[in-house]
Amino acid sequence: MSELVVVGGGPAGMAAALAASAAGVSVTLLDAAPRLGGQIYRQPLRDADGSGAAIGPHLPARFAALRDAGVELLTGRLVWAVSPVPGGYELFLATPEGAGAGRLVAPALVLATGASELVLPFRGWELPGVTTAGAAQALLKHEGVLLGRRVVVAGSGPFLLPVAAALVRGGAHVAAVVEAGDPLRRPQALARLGAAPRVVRDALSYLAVLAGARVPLLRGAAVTAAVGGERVEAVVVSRLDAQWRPRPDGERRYLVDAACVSFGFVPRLELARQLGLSDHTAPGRPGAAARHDGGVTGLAGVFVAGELTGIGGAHLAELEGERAGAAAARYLGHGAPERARHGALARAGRVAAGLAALYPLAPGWLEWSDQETVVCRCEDVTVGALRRALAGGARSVRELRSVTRCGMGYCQGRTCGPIAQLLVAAATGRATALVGDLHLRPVATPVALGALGAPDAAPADERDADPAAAGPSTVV
Amino acid sequence: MIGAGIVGCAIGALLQAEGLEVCVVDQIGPAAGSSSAGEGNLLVSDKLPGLDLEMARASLARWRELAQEHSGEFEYEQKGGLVVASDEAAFAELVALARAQREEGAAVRVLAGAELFALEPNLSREVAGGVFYEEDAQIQPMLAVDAFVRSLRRHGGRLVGGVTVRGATRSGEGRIGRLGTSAGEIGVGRAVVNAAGAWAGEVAACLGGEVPVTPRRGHVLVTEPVAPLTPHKVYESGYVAAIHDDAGGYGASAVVEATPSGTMLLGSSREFVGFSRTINPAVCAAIAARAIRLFPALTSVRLLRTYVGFRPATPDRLPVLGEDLHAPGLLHATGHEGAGVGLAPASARAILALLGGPSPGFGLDPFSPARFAPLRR
Ligand SMILES: Cc1cc2nc3c(=O)[nH]c(=O)nc-3n(C[C@H](O)[C@H](O)[C@H](O)COP(=O)(O)OP(=O)(O)OC[C@H]3O[C@@H](n4cnc5c(N)ncnc54)[C@H](O)[C@@H]3O)c2cc1C
Ligand SMILES: Cc1cc2nc3c(=O)[nH]c(=O)nc-3n(C[C@H](O)[C@H](O)[C@H](O)COP(=O)(O)OP(=O)(O)OC[C@H]3O[C@@H](n4cnc5c(N)ncnc54)[C@H](O)[C@@H]3O)c2cc1C
Repeated sequence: MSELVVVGGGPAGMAAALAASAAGVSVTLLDAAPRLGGQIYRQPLRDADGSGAAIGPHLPARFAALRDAGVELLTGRLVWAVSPVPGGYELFLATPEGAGAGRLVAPALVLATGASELVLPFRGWELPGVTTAGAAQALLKHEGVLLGRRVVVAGSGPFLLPVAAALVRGGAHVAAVVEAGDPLRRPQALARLGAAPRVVRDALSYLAVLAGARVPLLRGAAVTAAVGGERVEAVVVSRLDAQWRPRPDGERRYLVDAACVSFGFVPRLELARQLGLSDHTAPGRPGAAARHDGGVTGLAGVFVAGELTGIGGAHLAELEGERAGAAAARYLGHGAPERARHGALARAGRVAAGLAALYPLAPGWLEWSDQETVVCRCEDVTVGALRRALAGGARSVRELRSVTRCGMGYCQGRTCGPIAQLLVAAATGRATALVGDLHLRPVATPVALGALGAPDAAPADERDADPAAAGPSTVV
Repeated sequence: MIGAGIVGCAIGALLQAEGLEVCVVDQIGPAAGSSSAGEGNLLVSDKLPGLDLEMARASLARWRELAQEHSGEFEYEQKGGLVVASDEAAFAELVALARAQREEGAAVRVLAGAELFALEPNLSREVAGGVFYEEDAQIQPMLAVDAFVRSLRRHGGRLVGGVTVRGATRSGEGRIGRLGTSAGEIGVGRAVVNAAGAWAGEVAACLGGEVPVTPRRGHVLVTEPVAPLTPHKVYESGYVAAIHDDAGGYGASAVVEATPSGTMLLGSSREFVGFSRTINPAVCAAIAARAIRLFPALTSVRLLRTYVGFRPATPDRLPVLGEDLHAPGLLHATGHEGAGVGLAPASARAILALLGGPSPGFGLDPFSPARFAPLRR
């Protein structure tokens, strides 16, 4: 029953909902997860060590504020599709299991759908026990369950440290943190973080936890293979050169029962693309981020915030959310003050850029795999098959997909799409922005056909419900 | 050759193999347009007796040969098509159509009751009856385009992506001498073929010609892989009427088939909304509901993805194969609506014939752009 629907209950979405409702807007905040918080603040509310550090100490106050503001919370609800209707936007809902959950119409939307993880493949990465770092962290936060007893955390980016620290706190033996890049060799980018005491403080606290547990921190190294029968039993860690090519000298095995891998994040664009919002791709990175101007998009009444607009961390996401919520309120005619904290936003933006510059991707990862290494796990498409298609003249991810089925399976390229994009860019010598991606308008989540909606529903333009005229949104 | 869809590539491969020198250009690349945004049915069943059916059967015969020549390359399967009618009146109309198609040589089998459900055990018992067309087949169009492109290149032909055709300069006799493109000029020897699919109207206009092609949008739903619900392609008899119906709305009718990977493709809809790519969830819901009416077990099968494609539609829903009335040297090979995949090989034969090759085995005059001449101001 709201004027504004916010999709995504992470830092960005929560801030947007609060800012809009503070301006007098009636807001529905919707998230697929059973509880609010988004990726970083995934609950339980009680931390393993009771410090509240992993979920953010300010969270309980946030939740209380949302409740007090009268924001309608719809958790455990996925938006599988969104489309414009006269006077607003219609959201089609489903449960995480794929059952239908009605529709919602509102005159304005904030999309704050966040990002998903990027993993680069290596031999054996499909073995049970090898997961994304985020999945391992979510398991720990949600269920208090450890993925394994002896773990390596590998990949690249600032995210490896909090995950490793959380695993240590949860009682795992972290055999090593393996960072492919070498941030210490980028003093200029490192110096920029001086302006970000929060980031430095967080990093130091994670490093302290890791040092206390004597966890080796490797830089310029990567897990280049996982081996095992039923599940992973060991990983091969190789030393890398600056281009991430394995160096012949340094190879070492670690006996583990789990490996957590992450190479950063890729914005979740499904809903933005369904609406036809435009996006852009950063040089050298896969995926794309929604375009906007101060949270305002090219579509009247649609606002964006958080990692959907580019990877920048929870703090930036929150500031962006606040700005988008206020912009939506103004759009809806609720004289919200121009509250955007320009200085803070600019600072957080610089920090995000600094972090991105510290951890660039390098193309040498292609040499970690052999012809049999699987890229698309749903359709069992190997590096060899992709290379054959590229040798046969494929120049874009789309062409690769149509001749190999890469990305056509259950996950619709959410995992392999960015990998394929990097592969095509490397093989053709073109920018990632030019080779396309696999975000080909999938529904945002698999949903049962029987749940799609009323049979033979009248065309949208013939429906008499005019949400703007009717005022509040309606759950059909 | 302008356009590297299934039509342009089928023509290009044939002409090059027959000794012409072909250069295919596409603003994006192979199968970037409708040929990767539809399905791969090669149908006799939906063709009206007469021209339509004659050309379709000639094309299907050629597809069977191509499948032998390119063994296993594009998932050719003669799976057979089943058209079903939801009530007795529709069944009577369907049977009448099937009889007329049979008189022209199509293999048809009228089925009802136990016989029908023995053939198609998962079909709803509400269905009144059906007709089985054993010639109906299926391919994977993107792989077929790939096979044509490889054949083209093997014979020395060229394909260039990322080149948009924008105009032309004429030689002395008014024929197109050079094509102006985003990548510079391209010299033209004998002819320019406009195989730009739903964009063919724009391409013709920029070359000084005219062809009445408009995009007719269709949605397709892709499901998760499931145990095969049907070995055939099954669709409701209303589909044929929808092709020829100009009324507004969605033109939704159920078209159900399984692909070799286990996913199901569900169609179809027909809308004139320009080149809008915004998925309409209400259309998806209508398609799903109609498909479930044929196969109730689909209710719990999950949708993974939807996509839209643009059928190149002419006013009479028949292809245009022939020289432009105003731009000598410009041949059109477009307007195949929802049958461009099926009709691509026959179209290639037609263009070869227009360039001096043997007769394609069906009459060409009815497909000439001249039939639209009275429409011109
Ligand atoms: C797996 C993972 C773990 C992370 N852990 C940390 C960490 O420990 N420390 C750290 O500093 N940073 C972490 N990050 C980065 C951090 O998540 C981001 O900086 C921050 O959370 C971004 O906030 P956001 O609001 O933009 O998006 P998110 O927090 O990602 O929130 C987006 C929300 O939108 C919901 N959503 C998306 N699509 C739909 C849909 N179609 N329908 C309904 N709901 C939808 C999602 O369920 C999610 O809750 C993590 C990121 C990921 C992907
Ligand atoms: C939902 C749906 C389902 C379908 N199902 C079937 C089916 O089962 N069986 C069947 O036979 N048919 C089917 N069709 C129809 C079929 O897809 C089309 O008839 C066929 O793909 C048309 O092929 P084409 O080569 O003419 O056009 P396209 O494949 O669209 O190729 C045209 C090419 O021209 C290029 N181009 C355009 N403008 C320019 C320019 N100015 N310069 C350079 N290049 C340019 C484009 O990039 C494009 O690649 C379906 C269509 C849809 C939408």
